[in-house]
This record gives sequence, C-alpha cells and structure tokens, in this order.
Amino acid sequence: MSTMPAKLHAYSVGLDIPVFTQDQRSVRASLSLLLRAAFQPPKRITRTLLSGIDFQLQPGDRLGVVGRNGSGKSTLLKVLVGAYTPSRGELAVSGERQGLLNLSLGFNPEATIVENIVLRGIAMGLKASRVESIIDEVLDFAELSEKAGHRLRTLSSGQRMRLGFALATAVRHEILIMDEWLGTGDAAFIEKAKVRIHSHVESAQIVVLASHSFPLLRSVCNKAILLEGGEMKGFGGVDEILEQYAALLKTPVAVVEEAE
Amino acid sequence: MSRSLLQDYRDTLRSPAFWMYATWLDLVTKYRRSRLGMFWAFFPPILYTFGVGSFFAHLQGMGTGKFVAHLGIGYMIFRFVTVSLSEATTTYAGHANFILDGRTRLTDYILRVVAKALFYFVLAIPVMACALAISPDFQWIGLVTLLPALILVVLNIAWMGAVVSVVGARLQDVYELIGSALMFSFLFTPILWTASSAPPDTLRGGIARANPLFHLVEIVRAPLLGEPIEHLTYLYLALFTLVGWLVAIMVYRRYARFVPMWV
Repeated sequence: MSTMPAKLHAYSVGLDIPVFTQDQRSVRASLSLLLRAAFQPPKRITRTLLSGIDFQLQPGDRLGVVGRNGSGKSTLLKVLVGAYTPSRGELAVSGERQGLLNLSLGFNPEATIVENIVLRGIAMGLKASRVESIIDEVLDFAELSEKAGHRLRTLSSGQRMRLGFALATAVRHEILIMDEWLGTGDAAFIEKAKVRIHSHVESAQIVVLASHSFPLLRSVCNKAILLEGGEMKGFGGVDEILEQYAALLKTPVAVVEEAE
Repeated sequence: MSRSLLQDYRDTLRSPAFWMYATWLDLVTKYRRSRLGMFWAFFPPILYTFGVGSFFAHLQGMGTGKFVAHLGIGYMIFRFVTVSLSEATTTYAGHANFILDGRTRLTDYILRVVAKALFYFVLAIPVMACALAISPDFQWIGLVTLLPALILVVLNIAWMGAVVSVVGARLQDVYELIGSALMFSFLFTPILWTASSAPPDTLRGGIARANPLFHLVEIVRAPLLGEPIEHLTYLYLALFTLVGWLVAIMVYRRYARFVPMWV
C-alpha cells in the first residue's frame, strides 16, 4: 500500500445515458396492443441518472450515501468505483479503490477454487507473487481450505458468497466503497465478516458507504451526501444530512423528468 | 472522459496477466473432464484438412495432395477470424462482473477471446505443416510473407473485434447478424473452391471479392501454395485495415464509456 494521501473529489459530476423505452400509455389487453408491442420500435430518450454531484473527501473522511430507493445511490457508487464514466464534470481520484458492491464476482465455474482466487487476484491488479501469498489466507477465512481443489460449481451459494467476501477483503486499499453492510453466510460468518469490515473501515483512508440504517451511518460516517432523483440535495456533516433526509422522507416522491 | 482504443490496446498488451490467465483457465477447464483431453482441440483441424479436404478434392477433380493444404489453411484462417468475432460480440456480457467492478479496460476482454481463437490456430499449425509437406505446390519462399500476413490478419481482427464488441454490448442483433453473416461468408471465401475458379469479372467472383475474408485468406495462403495474389487483394486490405481502424477508434471513443451500463 502506498503512503500517498488518498483523495476522492467530485466536481459537478453528472451522468446521462440514452435509454430505450416502450410506450405503455394505453395498457388494454387487446390484439392491437400485442401487435404494437411486437412492432413498435423503442423510443430513445436521454435520461439523467446523476447531476450536480459535488464533494471533496480527504484522508479520514467517511461518507454516508443516503436517499430513497432508486435515488441514484448505487449508480453513484459505480461512478466512484470507476465502472461508469461521468458524462459531465470531473472525478479526481488518488489512491487504489476497492468496491464491495457485488460479491458474486466474475468466476469461472469449471475452474478450481484456487484457480478462481488467482484469476480474481490478477483481475484486482495483484502481482502473481502477491496472489500466491493470499491464497491460503482467503481459503482459511472463507473456511474452504479442504475444498481448494474442487471445482467452483460444487460450492453452495453461501460458500460462494463467503469466497467472494474473503477475496474482496483480502487486500486493503486506500479507498473503500461499499453498498450496504454486507451480511453473508451463517451467523458465525456474519460475525467474523463484521469484524473484518470494521478493521477495513478503520484502516482505509477514505470510506464511502451507502446505507439505509441511521445508527450505522452515525457510528461509521462523519460526512454524508443526500440524493433525490439523481440530484445531490445536500452534502455536509452526517447528523445534519440525516435530519434533512428524515424530513425528505415525509414528502411525496418527486417525479423525475425525462428529456426527449 | 472518453476511452482511447489505441491507449487501451497498448495497456492491455503491456499487462497481459489477466487475459492470458483467464484464457488459459478456459482452455484447461474445457478439456479437464474429458478422457481424451487436449486431443479434442486437434480433432477439428485434422478432420477438416484431411477428411473434408480429400472428399472435396474428388468432387473438384483436383489432386488430394494439392487440395488438402488449400482447404486446411483456408479453413483455419477462416475459423480464427470468425470465432474471434462471434465471441467478441458477447464478451462484455460474459465479463459483466469484472466490468462493473471498475475494470473498464475493454480491450482486455477482446484479447481474451482473440487469444483463445489464436491458441486453437496455433494448435492447428502441425496439422497444416503436414498438409503442406504432402502438397506438390508448397513454396518455401512463401514462408517469408507468412508472419507479416498473419500480423495483418490479427490487426484486422483487433479493429473488427473492438467494433462488434462495443456495438454488440448494446444490440443483441449484432450477435445474430455476425453469426449469420459469417456462416454465409463461408460460401464466398475460397476454402472449398479456388480463387481462379471465380474470376473477378464474373458476378460470383465480384461478390466473393467484396468479402474481406476472401482477401484475408488469400494473403496468407496464396504465397505458400504458389497461387497468384491479385493486386485487388493488396489494395482492398490496405484500405480495409486503415478505414477499419479509423472507424474502430471513433466507435470506441464515442461508445466505450456506455458499455458498463449496457452489460
């Protein structure tokens, strides 16, 4: 891990995508409707998923991302982790980013568990020698040591989640980006995972966490960002933003406008 | 904030660990559970070159020795190009988990499928060498142009792969279209027939020469078997490579950043 101070700055970041929708205005079960569904070409509209996202995070900052379902939290995390490229504005990042967004990582089901660990390790940007050194640790944490040579497809879904979690958290990065608190596997594993996440959160320089849990956000974060319909409604101290969010939750959902 | 195709290919070639290892896993796991293992990778080239080759030699009324090399080499190049392209159309969907994790250098995923097809091509080289050894037409001097010609083929796969993979990530149609087009183009590629039997001034010859695979096969194979290469082939391939790369660079710059949202 480098000792360079990490930073994560967003300067009026926005994300537009072209989406294709089917006209659903006249939903009546008739033959003409069925025919129309088959032959009507989808309409192309530009949809703004995010706009006006503006914040600066320094080492030590823990950012909570709050907002209703569909407000753009996951989309923002995908932009921050580097999967989506912003259409407007700029994202300035220094430090390695690790996303804990999706644990069903890209695996090859026919390869053995160890081979999958190597594949994933290389995909995370590790050197071959470094990958070698994490294999035992990952197998041990996921409690899969005796299955090392088995094909991945023989694992249960719980075991796969454990493997995914152990792999994603095998390496510490400067910037940690998480969607919800991860709860995977049986009770004993969840306990172990919580301990590990806590230590990761402590050792990371910058943490971004999307969650609906107020107590969790208060205990982990010092800053927060509030999203509504993809727009940034507020950025500031976690208590202040959570109050704003609580007030927002009492108002009806605003209709998102779509530009033709 | 758009991506550059040339820059991405350069980075992908500089750090090949991911796509090479992923390809290797694909290959070893594919044959791991079969009794005969890697033999199955050798089987199609042997079958096509010697089986189908001698059968069609009789139909065409040509010597088996002559025709076997013609068909074998033609088929191997055709397979290399078509398998690369048809797998490229779906490669991003297959790697969606990696892409959504922030690994957005898309050329890694293109080279992964190209590397797999190239591996099968390399495995077929001993078979082709045998076919050339028994061919009365084999020209040693043809080996001189073999490597540059293969590099030209790979360069063309690289740009076509970039275009079909990016467009294919958005439109499912591309997979279907490429599949049908490639199947159809087999008929218009001189594999089961020779270029001289469809002269350029005939309709069928004209259609065949509009097909890029015609020229990609000819430029590799013709020197080896002492067949003449038409001037049109050089001109066609020069333009095809140049214009193709320009198109690919533009498509990639414009659309590559949307791929994570499409997969």
